[in-house]
Amino acid sequence: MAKILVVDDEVEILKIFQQFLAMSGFDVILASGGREAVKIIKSGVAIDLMVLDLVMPGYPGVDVLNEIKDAGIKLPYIILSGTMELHDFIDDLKALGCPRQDIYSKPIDLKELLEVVKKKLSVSS
Amino acid sequence: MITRFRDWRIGRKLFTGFGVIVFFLVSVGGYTVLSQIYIKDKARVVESRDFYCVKLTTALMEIVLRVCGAVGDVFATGKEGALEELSIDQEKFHILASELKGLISNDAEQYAALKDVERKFDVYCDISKRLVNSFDGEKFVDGKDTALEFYRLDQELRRQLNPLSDEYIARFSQSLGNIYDLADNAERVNLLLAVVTILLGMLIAWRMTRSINSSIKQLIVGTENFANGELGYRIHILSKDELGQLSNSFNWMAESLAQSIDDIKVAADKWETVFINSFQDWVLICDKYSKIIKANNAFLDTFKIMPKAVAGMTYCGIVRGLQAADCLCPDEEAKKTKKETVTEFFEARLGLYLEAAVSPILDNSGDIAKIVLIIKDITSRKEVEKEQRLTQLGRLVSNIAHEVNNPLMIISGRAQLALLEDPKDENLKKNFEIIIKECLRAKGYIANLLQFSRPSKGEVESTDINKMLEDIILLVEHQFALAGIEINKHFTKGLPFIMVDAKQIQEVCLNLINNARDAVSTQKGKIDVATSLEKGYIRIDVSDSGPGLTQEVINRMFEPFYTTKKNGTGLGLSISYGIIKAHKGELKADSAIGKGTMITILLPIDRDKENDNG
Repeated sequence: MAKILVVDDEVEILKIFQQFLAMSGFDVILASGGREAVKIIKSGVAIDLMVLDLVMPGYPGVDVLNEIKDAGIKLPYIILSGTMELHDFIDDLKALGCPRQDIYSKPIDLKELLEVVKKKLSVSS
Repeated sequence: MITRFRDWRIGRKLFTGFGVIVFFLVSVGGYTVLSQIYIKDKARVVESRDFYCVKLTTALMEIVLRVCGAVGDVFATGKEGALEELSIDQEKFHILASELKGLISNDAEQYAALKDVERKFDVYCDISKRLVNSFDGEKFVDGKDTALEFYRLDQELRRQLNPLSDEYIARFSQSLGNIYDLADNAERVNLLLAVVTILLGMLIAWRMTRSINSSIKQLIVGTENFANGELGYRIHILSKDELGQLSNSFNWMAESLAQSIDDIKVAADKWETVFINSFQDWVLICDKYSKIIKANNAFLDTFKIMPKAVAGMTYCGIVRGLQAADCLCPDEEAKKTKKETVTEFFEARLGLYLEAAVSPILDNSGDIAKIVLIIKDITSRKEVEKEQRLTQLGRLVSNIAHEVNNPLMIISGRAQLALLEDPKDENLKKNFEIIIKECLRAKGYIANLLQFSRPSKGEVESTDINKMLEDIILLVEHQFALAGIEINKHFTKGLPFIMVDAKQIQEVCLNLINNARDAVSTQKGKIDVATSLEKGYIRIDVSDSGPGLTQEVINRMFEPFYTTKKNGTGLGLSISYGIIKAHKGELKADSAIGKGTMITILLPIDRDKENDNG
């Protein structure tokens, strides 16, 4: 059973993803902020995919990516953001080598999300 | 140059005038004294001769009377006494007679008469002595004849002496009369001289006063004129005297002053030229009618005008090709308020944003003497400001998007979860579907808003602009035809492919064509889409036959949220502007009321090269 880490500062959103992904047969881990996500990742839990929000107070998504990159951890991820138009983040993501097709905008169609997740998992495995 | 007159005319005039008066006064005095001496002299002569003659004659008469008396007194004095008296009188008579003879010696007739009288007196005395001798104590013994002789001689002597006396009295009166005449004459001459002196004095005083007065008047008029700054005025020199000299000196002073002022003006003018030429901005010095007096090199070079040719022209005339009355000149407000103003405006003919600092220079009475305009090209600043505004707004929209999209995610997520549970109620199902759909619509709107904070983030690809436009027109043609709008293509064939974000450029072109449609929709007009090659750029012109735009609309049309349409968002053109700018291109509008509108896109063929250069 693939393990998916969902990172978002909005608890309601976490709840929705948890419910939906669990229904779809995934093992879901939740992190309500960047710092928590990094802690979970670094704790050595085997994670197959991370669904990452960009704009989070104190510890934005880009910082999470930078942190795990620095830690030498390779983790497949997709970006799901309320806005991806904030220039800095776009540039940062480019610098991190994040392909454009891995960036998605909220609100997302859950079926579409499922497809993306499945596709991403099949590629990474 | 100053001229020095050698002579001191006023001093000499005064001296001469005074001298003449003194001379006349001395003359009057001298004449009086001399005439007095003369008259006195004459009087003395009269006194010593004529009057003395009278006196002597009278004395002679007295002696005759006394002789007669002595004879009669013999009764009292006695014979001896009477004889002695007679002898004394006889001697006295001769002394007086000879004295008188001396006085009248030059008159032979008188002299002879007097001698005759003397002779008769001697006879008379002899008879008298005879009578006395004949006195015997009671009566004269000598006879009657002697007495008669005595009496006759007495009468004769009296008869002869009387006319002599009369004669001398007459002479004396005449001499006295002569002296009175002399005195009268002297008096008349004196009076005449006095009158002449007074008249002459008055004449001289009047002449001199008049001459000095008119010179002083000229001086006063002249100095007043100089004081009023009329240094070209020259005092009319009436006389070559000290006042003339003074006037001349004043004239010279005015000339020197005028020269100095000219020198100062020239120096000030030179300094002004050097000063205004040190500005990179345009500097204009205008008169109160906005006519240019001087412009600096920056201005002259821009408009290729010679420094001399610019004088008398106006800013509006040179820059806008308009009469000042037909347009709002940058100095209008400053002229009204007489205060410094700073205004920003778009100079459509030059395609530049300008900032004009206008300073009116007031004269002493508070009226405008000159106007100084310093005009700065602020186009690049404006462009930066515009882009900054777009970026700031982009950030704002981006933040709003984040804040709105998260709740939208929750709403639509919950609805989707609800649907996943497959509710039996069709109505409920439909409600959830509507919620999801509307969330997506909101997302679409926000995505649209976000567009313009996106600086060329998409993938660039080699694009055939003609083909792209062809596709767009194909899409809208039918719809436009139905609305009675004609759309024409004027494409230049063989344009190079350029690297652009095709989707974005397509969006921009569609936006422009839709705007053109909106502009002509009420008149069923036509739209022209043209492409051409222009100095390293591909040019796309979208023109319409609509009513055209005012200058104000042109100035503001690229601002976000500025719209003239009833249901417009005011974002279309500003998004387009952002996109074209992100492509290092240009988006500009050319329009006038009644002449339609043409929007032009310029896209660089080689963007990176352009980037390097820029």
